Amino acid sequence: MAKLLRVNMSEIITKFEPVPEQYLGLGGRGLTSAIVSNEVDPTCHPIGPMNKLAIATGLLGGTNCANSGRLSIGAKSPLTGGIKESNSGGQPGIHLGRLDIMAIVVEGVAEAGKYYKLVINAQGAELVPADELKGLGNYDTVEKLKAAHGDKCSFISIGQAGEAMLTAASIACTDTGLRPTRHAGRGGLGAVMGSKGLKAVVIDPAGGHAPELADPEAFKAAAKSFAKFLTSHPVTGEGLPTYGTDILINILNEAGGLPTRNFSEGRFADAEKVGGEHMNEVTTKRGGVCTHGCMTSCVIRCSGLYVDEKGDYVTKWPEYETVWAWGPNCGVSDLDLIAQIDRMCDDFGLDTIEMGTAMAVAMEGGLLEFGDGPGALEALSQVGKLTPLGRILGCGTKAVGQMFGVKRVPVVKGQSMPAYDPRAVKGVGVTYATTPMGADHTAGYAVATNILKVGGDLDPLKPHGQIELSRNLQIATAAIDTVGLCLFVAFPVLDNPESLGDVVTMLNARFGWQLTVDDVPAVGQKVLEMELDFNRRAGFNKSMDRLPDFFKREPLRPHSEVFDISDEELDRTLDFSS
Amino acid sequence: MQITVKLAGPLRKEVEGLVGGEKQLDLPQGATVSQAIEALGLTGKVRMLMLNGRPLLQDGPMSDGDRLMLLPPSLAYNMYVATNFLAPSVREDIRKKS
Repeated sequence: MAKLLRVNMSEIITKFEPVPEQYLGLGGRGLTSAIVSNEVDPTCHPIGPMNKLAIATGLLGGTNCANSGRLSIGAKSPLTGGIKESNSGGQPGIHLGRLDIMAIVVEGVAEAGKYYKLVINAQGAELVPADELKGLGNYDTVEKLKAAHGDKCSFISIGQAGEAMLTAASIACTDTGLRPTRHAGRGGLGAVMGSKGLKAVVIDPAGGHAPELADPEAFKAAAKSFAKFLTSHPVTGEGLPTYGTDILINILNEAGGLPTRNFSEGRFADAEKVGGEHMNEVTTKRGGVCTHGCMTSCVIRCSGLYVDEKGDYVTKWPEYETVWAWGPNCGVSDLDLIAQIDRMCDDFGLDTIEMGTAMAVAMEGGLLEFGDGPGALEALSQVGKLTPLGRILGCGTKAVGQMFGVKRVPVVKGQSMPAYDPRAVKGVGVTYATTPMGADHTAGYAVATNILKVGGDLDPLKPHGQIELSRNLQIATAAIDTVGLCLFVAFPVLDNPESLGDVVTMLNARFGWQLTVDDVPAVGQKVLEMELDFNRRAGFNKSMDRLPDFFKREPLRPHSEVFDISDEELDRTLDFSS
Repeated sequence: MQITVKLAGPLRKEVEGLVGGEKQLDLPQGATVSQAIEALGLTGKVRMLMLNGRPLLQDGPMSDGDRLMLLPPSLAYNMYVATNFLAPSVREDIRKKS
């Protein structure tokens, strides 16, 4: 029977309870957003005692379904002031599922300066003082946890940034090699974890088991079919496993949508030096790994292991958004240096997107010249030392813009935009503006079953069709995040609607439900409505569903386009009453 | 006329003489995009393409100095990009299916 674990940091107690009735049928993002929406006062201070940190497995978490181990983490965001869900790969989602834990709700705050680790195993859960971890980065934290708890566990942790409650702080999850490389990066959730005095979560799956299934045979057949769709599709079977996400550098550059030098141009002359083809070539030459899964159930394996010239491990393959944020967006073309930055962000526990975008704004504000990679690395190192400059940078793009007097600050609801310029790819601009999460590409990255029809006539430089595209993508993404699937499963769904049928069959076979494929959009819409409602109660209004004005005023080279989707159109995107 | 072709990912292994994934291609005046793909031996291997960084809704003639990027099905990663830059032949297939 799936359980919910409540962890009270004020009283240092843990308590298991059955999943409350109002949360039944939800997992992942749906569950964290329901918990935050129901249990957190939207007007509370995000790093105060009234906020809660919700950690949830997806509906298929812990099962043998491929790529189903995403872990959702939610709270009121210190960065946006609204609801936040950020999900991560790695092993913890699978391990929690095998312990029958649907969600952990961390409440209250520990005594100032005290840090604890939450140790979870088949026997129960307890909070243990963790003074020995105080001040450590994620890599050292994991080494100490490994020594204390063994290498069969998985770990969730925060680095120095989370302890210091900086608003770009992330929460790290360990991958299959116990590296703290997978992060719930966006929205400053590491600061919420730090505010509670929770340094780490240790999950020991020994004695656990795959969740009980209502119809094991039906589940097994659908899981097998679904995995075959993933391995046989060209994107998930060939492209992602070979080139990772960084292949998008050259593609967005060609489209004129690769934000360069703080969103001042759409193309970067040295894009080829930091693109996925080059990363694959360098990794292969140096004896690194080009195909690597972050969780054991992954059959896509879009990650890799980046090594230096001696062949020594530096970091996992930096994602496209990381390479973009610290590369083209800062005018930097040194992939080795970007890999070091990725490692440092993972270690301090920082959102690579928020931080790279913040650095580019700082460069525009005169901190450094665009293109000064070593200077950027040195400035980033100050976050770990918690110097005044480090603290400012670690609070993200909006804060840096204010501190450095910059008026071109690419944020929505306080969160930085990722790696697609909304003037060149207008559909993603609609998502940046309207998602309840703040500027976020993953909120509308996936695909609805009707997208092929929409896709046939779209031009990224024209407003036509972008509202519908963004709405469908946001609904589908919320549903996928609720099931706990990696977003990349969306690609087979694009070409083979039967693969979505397999997901529905697995849900029915897991829980004894009678869902059909037609029910899926309603799940996504319900999640979005909860999130929008929380934000309204937190004081958000339509004026916050807008892009910064420079996107409407400054034409972007090479296409000389501005973001010209009207406010009325934006307001229509997630208006489900119409 | 001469155009510049940029190839992405695995398509680079299919064509010789690339520098930084690019190649200058000589074609008869007014050659179409599909003729360029054919000249490269990539017919049937392109899902997305960009002509001068823009989508191409219908196949048509190119001009001297044009820039053509070709992408295989395995690199249609981002849905906004993938749906916007579908090759005309793929758009046509989708229309027929729907």
